[in-house]
Amino acid sequence: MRKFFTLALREIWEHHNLWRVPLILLLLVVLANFGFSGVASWIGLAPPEVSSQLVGTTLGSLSSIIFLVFSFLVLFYLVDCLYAERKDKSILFWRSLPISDTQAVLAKLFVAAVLIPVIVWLTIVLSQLLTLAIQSMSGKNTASLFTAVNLSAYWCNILLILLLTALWTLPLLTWFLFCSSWSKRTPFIAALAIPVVIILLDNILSVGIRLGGLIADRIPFGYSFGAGDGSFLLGLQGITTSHAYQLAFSDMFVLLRQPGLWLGLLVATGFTSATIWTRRWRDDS
Amino acid sequence: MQSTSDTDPLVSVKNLGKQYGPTTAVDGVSFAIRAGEVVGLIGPNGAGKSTLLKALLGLIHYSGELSVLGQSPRSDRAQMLQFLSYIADVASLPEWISVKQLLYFLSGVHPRFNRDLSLRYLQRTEIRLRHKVKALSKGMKTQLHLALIMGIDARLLVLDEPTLGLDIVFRTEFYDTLANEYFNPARSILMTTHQVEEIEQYLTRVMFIHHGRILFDMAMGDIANRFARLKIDSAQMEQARQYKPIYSHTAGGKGVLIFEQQSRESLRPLGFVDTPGLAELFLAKVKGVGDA
Repeated sequence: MRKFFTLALREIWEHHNLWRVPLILLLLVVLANFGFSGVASWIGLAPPEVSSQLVGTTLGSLSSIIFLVFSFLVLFYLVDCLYAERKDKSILFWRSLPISDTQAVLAKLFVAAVLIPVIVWLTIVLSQLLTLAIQSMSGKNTASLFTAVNLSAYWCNILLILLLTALWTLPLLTWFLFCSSWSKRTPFIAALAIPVVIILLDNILSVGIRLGGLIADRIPFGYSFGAGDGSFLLGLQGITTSHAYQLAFSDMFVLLRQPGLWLGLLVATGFTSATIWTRRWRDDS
Repeated sequence: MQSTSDTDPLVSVKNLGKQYGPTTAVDGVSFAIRAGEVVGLIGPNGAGKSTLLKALLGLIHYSGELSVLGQSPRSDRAQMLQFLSYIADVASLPEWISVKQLLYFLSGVHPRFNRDLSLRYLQRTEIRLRHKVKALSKGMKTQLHLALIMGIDARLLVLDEPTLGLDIVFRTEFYDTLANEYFNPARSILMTTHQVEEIEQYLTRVMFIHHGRILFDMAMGDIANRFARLKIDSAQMEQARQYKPIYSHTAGGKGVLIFEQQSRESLRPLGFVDTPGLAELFLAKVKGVGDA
C-alpha cells in the first residue's frame, strides 16, 4: 500500500501541472470574483427562483470549465508518463528497483483515473466556495447565496459523475497510456491521429462497423455514457435541478446497464496488458 | 520469499544463450558466483558482456538456465531486485527529482533501503537534500547513485561500466568506497569495465568474454602462480620464444612475453620476470602469439 502511494506521489512530483494548474485556476477564480464583486448584490435582489437559477448557472459553468481544462491535462499526462522516462533514460533507474512493471503502470493509470478526478472535484468545490465567499463579503443581501442551491447534494453528484466518466473513458485513457509506452518518437501524434483517422474514415465510408462512433462516444462532452441525451452536461450543470443527487445515481445505473461499458473495460484491460508487456520487454538500448 | 543459503551460489548460469536474429550474442555460457566474490567481466565491445548482464538482470529473453539469488530473472524480477542492486547507467537518475524526494521514494518502494546509511555517505559529499539531480555534475550524480546503493542491503551488486566518462578522482573514490565500505563476505559484486587496470586491484576473480563465450575464468590469486611476464630487449626475442610464450609484443626495442605454466626460474636468466596485468593477459588469451 505504501509502495503504491509512493509511486502515485512520484507522478505528482514529476508532473507539476497536476497541482500547479488547480492552483492557477483557483487564483483566476479569486481574481475574477473580485473583478465582478458587485454582481452578487443584485442577484440577491432578484426573486428566489431567478437568483437560484443564476447562482446555479454560474457555479455549473465553473465546473464545466475546470473539467475541460483537466480533460486536456489527463491527455497530456497519460501520453507523457511512460514516454518521458524512456526519453530521459530514467527508466533504467526506475526498473532497477523492486517495482514490477504491472505496479508501475497501474500506479500511473490510478493517477489518471482516480487521483485526477478527485483533484478536479476538489478544485471545483474550492472554486465554488471561494466564489460564494467573496461574493457574500462584497455586497448586501448576499446571505441567501449559500442556500440558493443544494451544494452538498451537487458535490456528491459531481464526484460520482467524475469517477463514472473515468470508468466510461477508460478505453481511451488506456489507449493513451499504451501509446506512451509504445511510440518511438511521437506518442502524442499516435495517440490522437489514430483515433481521429478511424473516426473520419468511419464517417466517410460508413461501412457499418461504427468503430468511429464507438470511439467518439467515449469523448466526454460529445456524448454522455453512450446515451447521447446530454445528461452528462446536465449532470455537471445540474446544480439547479432539485433532484441533482438522484440524477447521478440514475446515470450510474444507465451506465452499468450499457454493454458498451463492459466491452470498454475489456478493451481497457487489453491496452493495459499491452502497456505492461511493452514496458517489461522493450529493449531500446 | 525464498532466498539463498550461505553456501548456495548467488548466481548460477547454465548453458546461457542469446540470439539476435542470425547473430549469437551469448553462446552457451556457464558459471557460478558465490558470496564474497568481486568478479570482473572483461571483454571488448560486442563480446556479449552487456547481453549477459541484461539476461542476469531479467531485461531480455534467453535460453538456458539462470538463477539469481534463488529467483528466475525472467519471472520473479521484482522479488529478485530486493536483493540485487545495479547501476545500468550513472546518467539514469531522473533530472527533475530532488535528493530528498529520491530518498523518500526509495524508503517507500524498497523494503531493504535504509535512509540513514545513504545520508551518512551523502554527508561526506557536497550534495545537499534540497539539490535537484539536474543541478549536479556528472561526478556528483555518480556519488548520489552510489549513496543510494550504499543504503540498500542487497547481496549482489551489478555494475556495467559504472565510471564511464568520470574523471580519475571520482573513479578512484567510487571503487574505494565500494571496496572498503560496501563490500563484505556476505555480498558479491559483478562488474564490467573498459578500464581494466583500474579495477584490477579490487577483483577476487576475473572472467574474459569474447565472441559470446567465457574464454578464461580464474581467481586473481591464481594468476601469479600460473602466468609470468618477461621483459627483455627485442634482440633476445628469438631466444625467449623457445620457451613457448602464449603472447609476445615488441615496441621501442623492448619485448614483452607472457608465459603460461612456465617456471619463473627458467625465465629469469633472460630478463625481468613478474606477473602480467589483466590487460596483457586479456590480449594474450584473445589474440595469442600470432600478433608479435
